[in-house]
Amino acid sequence: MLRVFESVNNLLLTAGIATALLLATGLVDAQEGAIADNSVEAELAKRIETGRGVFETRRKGNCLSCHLVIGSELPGNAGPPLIGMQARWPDREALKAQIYDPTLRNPDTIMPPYGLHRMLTDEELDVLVDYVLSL
Amino acid sequence: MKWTNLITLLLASMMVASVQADPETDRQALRDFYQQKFPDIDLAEFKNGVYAIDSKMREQWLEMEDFPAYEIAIDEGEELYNTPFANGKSYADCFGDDPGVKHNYPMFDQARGGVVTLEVAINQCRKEHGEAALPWLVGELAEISAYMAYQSRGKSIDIKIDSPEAIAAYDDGEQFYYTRRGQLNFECSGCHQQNVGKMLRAERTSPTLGHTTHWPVYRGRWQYVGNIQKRFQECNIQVRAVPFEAQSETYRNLEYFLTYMSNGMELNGPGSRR
Amino acid sequence: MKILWISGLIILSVAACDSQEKVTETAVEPAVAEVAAVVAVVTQTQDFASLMQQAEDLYMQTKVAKHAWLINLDRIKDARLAAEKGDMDTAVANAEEAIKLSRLALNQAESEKSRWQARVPQ
Repeated sequence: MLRVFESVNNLLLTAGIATALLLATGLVDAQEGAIADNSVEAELAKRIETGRGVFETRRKGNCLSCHLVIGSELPGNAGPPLIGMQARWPDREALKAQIYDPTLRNPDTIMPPYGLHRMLTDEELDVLVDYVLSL
Repeated sequence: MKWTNLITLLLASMMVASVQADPETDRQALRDFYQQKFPDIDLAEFKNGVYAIDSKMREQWLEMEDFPAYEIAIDEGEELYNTPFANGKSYADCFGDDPGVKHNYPMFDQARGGVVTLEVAINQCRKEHGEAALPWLVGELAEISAYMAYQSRGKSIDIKIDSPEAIAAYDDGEQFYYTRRGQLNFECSGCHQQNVGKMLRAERTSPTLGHTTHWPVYRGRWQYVGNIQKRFQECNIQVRAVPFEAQSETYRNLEYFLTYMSNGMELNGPGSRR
Repeated sequence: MKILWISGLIILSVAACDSQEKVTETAVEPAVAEVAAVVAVVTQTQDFASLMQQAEDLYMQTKVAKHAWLINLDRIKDARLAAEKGDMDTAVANAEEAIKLSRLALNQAESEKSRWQARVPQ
């Protein structure tokens, strides 16, 4: 008898917690809906900033060595200026592949194969693409 | 010479011609390449390196040349050159009365079966007279080179490639120059030919033609006078390749090829660079 | 080298059997777990040793091919340092990276053999 009581009690308790959880999740969901755009934007801004670091750091991309970016100091000109990149590279994956190994499209290019030669990690390539597409 | 020897020699040279490139054709093609790229510049100007193609940098450089930082090295080198060895002999016993012999180096030494650069010749001279060899890249050896280069100013580079072995050494150097290397996957010609004159950040890439006219060089970045093979190592490191030993066969062959490309050009070393 | 490791393993297993006989029934399981852990470390160290050998052999091949990469020296050095500190995960990761880099450098050496000539001005 005692056992039955205990289990009923447990059942009630479980049900109670479940309801509370459901309610709480619902609330959070509603809140997220309202601020979704902002946080996605903030996340992208963060990625672009990290990508800029990869772009400018000499031991990473060192891209300014050869590419002009508007506002950059002492840019190189061995490669084309990076302007209007969204329009020039509508396919994000194609741009990533280009940085991974540019010799596939043009065997004569002097641009290093950043991914193939393991100079940048996959994550670094991704944020770098985010940054380049923002130019 | 017996007629059989003559035929062997003829056959050998024919084989060489069919398999390997002709250095003189290469040199002429390289000159044509730069003349097309820079039609308004007299090719003789390329002895001044990047300053032949950048007037702004040229002005700064000419100011540096008013009080050249390599002058001390020339003086030190002259003193070292004229100081007799312990056995009473001196460098003049190896190089003759005129220390201005740089236009003949590097040369292919048939007996030793390899390329002899001026630096190798200086150390060989020391060893023949019981002196210890000097470190290759900087210090006393670079100073002696600087003095000899100064004494050679105005002479035209006169490199000879006249045996199958010499052509093989030249070929090896040529292959090195055009081969991509290092994690960055750069070949020497990628910067100095394909992209010559382009800016890499604040630096403009210099032409291959004239690369060897002005060594050794006082380089601002080094703050001392160093030999050309020091720069080879630096270039290899810049493309993230493991550099080769100074005066290794690889670098001697490279210097042989590179100097031949500037054959006929006027020597104006030592030089100063940023 | 390999023989040393194998004999080490045998000694360890014999020692483990000995101790098992003496201990009471309840203590058997922890003793086995301990031995398993020791064997795991030994195996990992042995794996690392052969991995490191491979990394160094391949690096030497890139040197002979005149296509050695600077970064490779860092990875091999880092692998050795981590192994000395007993950080085998880092050591293995660095040795594996060095092997990958060497293979890329050797690919470069091979493909350049047929490519350099096209860059000579004609």
